Amino acid sequence: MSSKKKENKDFQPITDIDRIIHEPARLMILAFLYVVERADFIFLMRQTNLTKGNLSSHLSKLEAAGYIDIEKKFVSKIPRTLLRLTKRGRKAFQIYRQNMKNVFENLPE
Amino acid sequence: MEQSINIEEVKRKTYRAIQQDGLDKILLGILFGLCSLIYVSMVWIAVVACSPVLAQFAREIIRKKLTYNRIGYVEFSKSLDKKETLFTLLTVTIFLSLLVIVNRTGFKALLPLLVVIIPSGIYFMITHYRSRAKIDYMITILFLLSGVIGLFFTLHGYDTTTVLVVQISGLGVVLLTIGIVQFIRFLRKYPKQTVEASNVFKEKRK
Repeated sequence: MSSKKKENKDFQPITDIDRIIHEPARLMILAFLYVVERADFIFLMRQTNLTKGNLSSHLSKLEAAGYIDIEKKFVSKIPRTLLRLTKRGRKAFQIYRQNMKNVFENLPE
Repeated sequence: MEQSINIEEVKRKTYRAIQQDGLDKILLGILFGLCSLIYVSMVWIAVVACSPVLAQFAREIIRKKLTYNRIGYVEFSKSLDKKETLFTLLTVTIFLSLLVIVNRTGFKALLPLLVVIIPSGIYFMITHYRSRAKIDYMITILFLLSGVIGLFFTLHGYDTTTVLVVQISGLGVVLLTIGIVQFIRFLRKYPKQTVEASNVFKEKRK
């Protein structure tokens, strides 16, 4: 095995990190959705302190990656945007956690 | 990084967020008030029997009108996890043991302690595993304290029914007061949201 290949293998846990989840705002969004069945846009906005535009942009990226499911419906004539973590999103979040754990566990003191 | 993504803490934060409206405490306070009426007149038993279901309905209606449009809507998993199930079983076991003791020995002085076992056990379970809010721990202590104080009075010859009425209605008043204070603070802290997210999404997609 060449030294370059070995070096790449050493950094494997870092290169495996999901960049979509790694962004702090998206990580926060996924962490909140991970612990609930579903939540709406306003709840996430309040909890994450993100602006409407910022949150919707991150949600669109997560939806495009298939990590969250966005459902729009009317409740008593008021529109409500419900967000739910998909199975794929849940799995990706768990893998991300594991990868981050591996990265920091393998670092020397 | 792992330490900063403390999933349990996120879960608690989320649960505490929706509990800020104090509605559960208000409704529990009213429920306690109604329960104390049973000891005054048995006519109230039907109302008390229906009240938990009515309380759930009322909570959802009020939340739809006042809470969800301020803080947003969130839905938690309805099933209990292992620890919560075990704790509930432990509480029910303690309650049933005390109930058997009271029935067998006819020692009615234990009743003030008996009536707070289930509420304090369940309240502690919810507090400890879901919210860890200081105020909720204090309410659990208050439940048990009311039982001990009630026991003290019944042991000193006071009429058990009177002690129970004072104890339960007192707990109801305290819970109601805490709930109303939390509710007012919640309304002030979170003004009503006027713009909905769907508009933002529409604009983005254009």
